[in-house]
Amino acid sequence: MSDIIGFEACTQELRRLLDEIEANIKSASEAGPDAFHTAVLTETRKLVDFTNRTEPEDIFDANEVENIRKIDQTADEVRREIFGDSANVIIGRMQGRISQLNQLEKAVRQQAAENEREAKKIRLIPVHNAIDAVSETVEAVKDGKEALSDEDPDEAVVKSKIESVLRAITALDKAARDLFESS
Amino acid sequence: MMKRYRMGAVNASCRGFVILLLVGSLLGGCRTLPDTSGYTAATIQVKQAVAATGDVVKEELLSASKAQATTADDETVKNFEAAWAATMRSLDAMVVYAQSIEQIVDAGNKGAESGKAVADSVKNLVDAVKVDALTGGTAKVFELSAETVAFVYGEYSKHVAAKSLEEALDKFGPSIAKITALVQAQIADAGRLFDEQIEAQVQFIEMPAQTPEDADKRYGNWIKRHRELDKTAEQATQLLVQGIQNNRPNDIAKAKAMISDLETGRKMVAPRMAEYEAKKHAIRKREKAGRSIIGSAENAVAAWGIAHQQLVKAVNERKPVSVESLTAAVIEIRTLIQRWREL
Repeated sequence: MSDIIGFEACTQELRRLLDEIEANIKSASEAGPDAFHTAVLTETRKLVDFTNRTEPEDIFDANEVENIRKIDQTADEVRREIFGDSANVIIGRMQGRISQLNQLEKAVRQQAAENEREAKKIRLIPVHNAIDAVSETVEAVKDGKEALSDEDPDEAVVKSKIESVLRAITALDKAARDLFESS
Repeated sequence: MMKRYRMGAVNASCRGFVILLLVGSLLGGCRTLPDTSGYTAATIQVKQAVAATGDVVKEELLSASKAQATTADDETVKNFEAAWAATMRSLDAMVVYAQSIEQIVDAGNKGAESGKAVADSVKNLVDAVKVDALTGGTAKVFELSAETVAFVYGEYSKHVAAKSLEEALDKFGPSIAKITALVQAQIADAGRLFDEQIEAQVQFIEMPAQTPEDADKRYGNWIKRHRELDKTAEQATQLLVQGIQNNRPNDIAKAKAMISDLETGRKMVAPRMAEYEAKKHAIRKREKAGRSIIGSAENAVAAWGIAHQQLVKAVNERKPVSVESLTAAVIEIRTLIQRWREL
């Protein structure tokens, strides 16, 4: 049953599990060899269970799929490292694995930020298209404004409204261009 | 007179106490050895469950081969069969070892004779689990096997003259731990072959179609086109951004035309990419389930090693042998295999 969905959730759960294993192995080793042996079996079973529960949020996202495979592999390697060693060695290894997991998370976040920047550029394309369309309209509206007279009070009202619309469009155009250029 | 009588009574009660202590200690020493048949039965179950794990890997190999959906050839199946046959020999030897310990314990502690019998059982076990160059395992397993054999032989010469059953079982504890680690490594090695097989299936669907018949099985050409579209999208975006920044209408128009073509291209490629991703997802799902089964098989063998330590303790303390952890490990493998079959 997959119930740990997405890279963030998988990383978080594995980190929590490694902390839990470290604590359980420590307390079991203090309680004697029988408790320690039982803990070794219980904790390794939890790691098999973990790899069964992970799943990418988007199965079509090759990067996410690959990163979750890396997390599963880490859990599998940790499981093998628990057997046949003393509690202190196991605890040391857990700490090493947590730091390795943190590094993986950092690298994935950096990559995600980079992807997001690229995606933002593509997302802004329709905004640019809209601005272009509006710019063409602005020219037509400007021509219309020129045709109106200041002497006629009704025409003057329309002219003033056109001016405020033009100011708003110019502000929108500037804001959109700034956004585009900053991405 | 009265005083002498009292002294006599005290002496008599002291003697009684000493006799009681002697009888008590003798009775304690003769407490019956525990029944280890549960350990033997659980070992047989472990063997059967782990054997089923091998069947899973083999099924994966054969079904992909039959469906012609893998780049792996028959040699892969042969390699797996050779390596797995060695693992099965190890599991058979674990059962024989458990049976021999059961017989030795049932026969009662016969001092050095029992000690020698335990030593011989351990030696037979290591002789059966050792991996030679012909078994198809990796160099790592071969190396581990050589180390394990050397260690156990060394231990054998040191402890063959153990004076009691308890001493022998205790002294050979590290040997059994080493042997357990070797069998675990053999199973992990089967996992490596399973991984290779999965990768061969992924490679197969990612290769370009060779004939019109396998156009719906291989997606290499579509993946290539998809990547080309991605690259074009990147170039178009770059051109558009630069066009806007430098106010170059021609670049902007060119970029927009490219983007429009890209949309058409993506619509054509998308259904085939979705098929490819769905097939890859199904392979990855089987990979995940298979790896869990192999992992739980490794755990079961480790549980066997730990249960052996508990057996040694139970013999020493004349307490019942617990095999709960072994039973749990067997149940876990069976559950995972069931899930695999439902995929």
